[in-house]
Amino acid sequence: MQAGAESGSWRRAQEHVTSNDTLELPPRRRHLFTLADIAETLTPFPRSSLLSGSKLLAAGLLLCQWAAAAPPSWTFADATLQISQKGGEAAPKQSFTPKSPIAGVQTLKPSDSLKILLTAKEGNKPMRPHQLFLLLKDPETGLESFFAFDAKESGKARLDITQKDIPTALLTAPSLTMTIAIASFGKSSPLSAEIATISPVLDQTAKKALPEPPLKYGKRPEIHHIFRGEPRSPPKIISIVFLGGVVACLPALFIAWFTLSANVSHLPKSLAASPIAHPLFFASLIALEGVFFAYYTSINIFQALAAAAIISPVALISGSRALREVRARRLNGER
Amino acid sequence: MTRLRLSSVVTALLAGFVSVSRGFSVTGPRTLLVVEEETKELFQTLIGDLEARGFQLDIRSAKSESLNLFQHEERAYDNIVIFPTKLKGLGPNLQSSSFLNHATAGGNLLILLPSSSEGNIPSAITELAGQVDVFIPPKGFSVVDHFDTADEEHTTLLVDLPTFPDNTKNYFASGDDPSAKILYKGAGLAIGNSPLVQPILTAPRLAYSYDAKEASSYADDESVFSAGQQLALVAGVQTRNSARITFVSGGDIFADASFTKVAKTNKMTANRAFAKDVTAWTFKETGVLNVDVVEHWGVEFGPNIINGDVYRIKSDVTFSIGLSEYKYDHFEPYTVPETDALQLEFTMLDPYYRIPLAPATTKLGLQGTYKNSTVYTTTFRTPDQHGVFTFAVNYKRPFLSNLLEKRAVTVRHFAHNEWTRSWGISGSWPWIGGIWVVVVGWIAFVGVWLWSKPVAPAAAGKKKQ
Repeated sequence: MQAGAESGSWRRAQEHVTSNDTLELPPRRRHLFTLADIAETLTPFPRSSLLSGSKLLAAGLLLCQWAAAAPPSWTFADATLQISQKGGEAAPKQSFTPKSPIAGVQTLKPSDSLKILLTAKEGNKPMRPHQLFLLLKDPETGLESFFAFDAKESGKARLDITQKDIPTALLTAPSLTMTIAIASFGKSSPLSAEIATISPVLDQTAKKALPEPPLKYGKRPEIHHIFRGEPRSPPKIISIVFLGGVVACLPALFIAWFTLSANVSHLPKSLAASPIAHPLFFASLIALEGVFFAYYTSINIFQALAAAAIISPVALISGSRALREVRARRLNGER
Repeated sequence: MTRLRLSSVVTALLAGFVSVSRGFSVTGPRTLLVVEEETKELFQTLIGDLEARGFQLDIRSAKSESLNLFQHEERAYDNIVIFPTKLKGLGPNLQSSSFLNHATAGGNLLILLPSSSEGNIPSAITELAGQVDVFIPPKGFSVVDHFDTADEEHTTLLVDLPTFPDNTKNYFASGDDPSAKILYKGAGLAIGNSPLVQPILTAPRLAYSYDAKEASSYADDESVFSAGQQLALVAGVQTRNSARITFVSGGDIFADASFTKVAKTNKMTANRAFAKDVTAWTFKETGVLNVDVVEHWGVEFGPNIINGDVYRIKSDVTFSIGLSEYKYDHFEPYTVPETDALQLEFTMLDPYYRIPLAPATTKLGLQGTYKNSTVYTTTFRTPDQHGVFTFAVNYKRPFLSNLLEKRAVTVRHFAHNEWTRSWGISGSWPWIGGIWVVVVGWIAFVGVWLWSKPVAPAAAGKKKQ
């Protein structure tokens, strides 16, 4: 790419990062090498004493340079964190250093504002770095946002945060870790130090004001259909008791008839008078009930009608004959 | 069923024919490279790699007057690569609207933005980016990382290969060495909340993109474009029709000069493999899903009646779908990541079910003929609600082509002879008993009425007289 290559810096970067000869180090990058790196440069050359001597010397020199001119590292001092309530009293300032973060969890209410004051230093000298960020991270999701300090050239920096400044995705997190990152161009080694843990507390109105989280493609919650309840019957024992009561009516009826001297004593007489009509009539009545039973259990309406059509003429004709015999008995005074 | 089988055979034949005649990208091989002659020199390897993968390259300058993305209202190219350019505009044939039309017609787009903070970004590209929820910083911005640098200006970054949550397949770290770093220099991108946009490569945690001209001494709030994981270096957009648009915020990431060794680790950079992954994804050589087969049947009848039109309420139904995934030149069975799920919805206006589909252990019906697909299946009971329902598999995931498969079926009510019989309902027993007691009692009464002999006929006779 023309523009990028011509800019020069990209080219130079390539030269540096592609350099394989570790002894011809770009002098400006010494600080990036550790002792282990230098030790590695020694091991590949044990055979040629001359070479190894010179390389050892070079490496030694390098080590000396590295030790003597160790670049300063970025740090900060006079750092305090203060949470004050709008219109209320400010909480005491809590001081912290790169190595000793503030213990415990700070809470940030909707009306609170958080103030961090610090002085950035390059080594011991107060200095303004190029990057002076406060990073807020939700350790659960890994989401992180940054806030740039308001820094003066003297290195004095200030940052004010209220809940409005914090992205909503982080506001709903149970706790956020605060990290300060100080770094700049040049050789000085950068610093990132965790300084505190903060927990944003939302009230009802703030919770309502939160926007819907954005749509993300992914697995969606499962749905299982909830079926309507099955139709219920009373306990079987109750049905059985009442069924017993109903069935018991039948013998009760028969007993009642017999106590009123009902009988079938004329059956032989009738059979003798009309031997075909009586059994046929009675059988056709039973057969009709049988058709109803079959319709209830298995056959369809057309089969039931066909069967009834066959049985009913039989019942009609045999019935008239049988009833004629019954009338004959009545006229004889036998009924 | 025969129709289904025939159409699938035709599709398979057609697919075979297409893949032989058109190269290996699912979209197609016709690729337009919009590149100036002097820039082309810097990307020889990338261009050579694309050619070796079967893309038919048409290398044109943006200034070319005969360049047109459409011919006879049809897409003239399947894929377009816009290389970094010194031009401020790309000319009348390469407007943001023509790029969008290209994507609407299913074409893919790879946009390499300049790495240098002096490089120009044509307005057509900025407009296009804005329309797909990607934001390019103005000219003059540059990403720096003071914490892990590769040069003394801190603007060249060594970025780890991209990693994604374990429910997302990683198509961008296929290189041999997983610890290799990507050499990067550029301005970065910010991306919106749209689910169609995905960051492919994000900046290291403590890197930031700042206005190199205005804020050379201190990066205050206003001169920082974005930082950390929120700062994307490479971002991919997949439109609703699964066309892909990829923005690479530092084009030199794919330049020949980046395909080299890093002194710090004495290892090759991952750039070349990453370039292959990004171009393969953008041009649909990876991350393309195909539905090979959809089958459903009632458990009651078994798989003898497949893909019927009618099911009864409250009956068990098995649904299965065979999925395969394209990989460079062939389809292979698609496996859903473990923490993800392929879900089946059974819908009438609203989903009544949304249940996961699990890989089938035995293949039934037509599925045996699809060797290159994973068959996912599930069995559920149709809801107690009749109507026209839809089996819907709506599988939209980052970096995968959108999949929406719908099959409508009727769910009928119980037929009159499918209800529980009255004797099966214990509450009806006394009533049924009552009926039969009446029947027996009536038959007995008829018998008694026909054949009863008077006990005292003399008394009866006396009365009559």
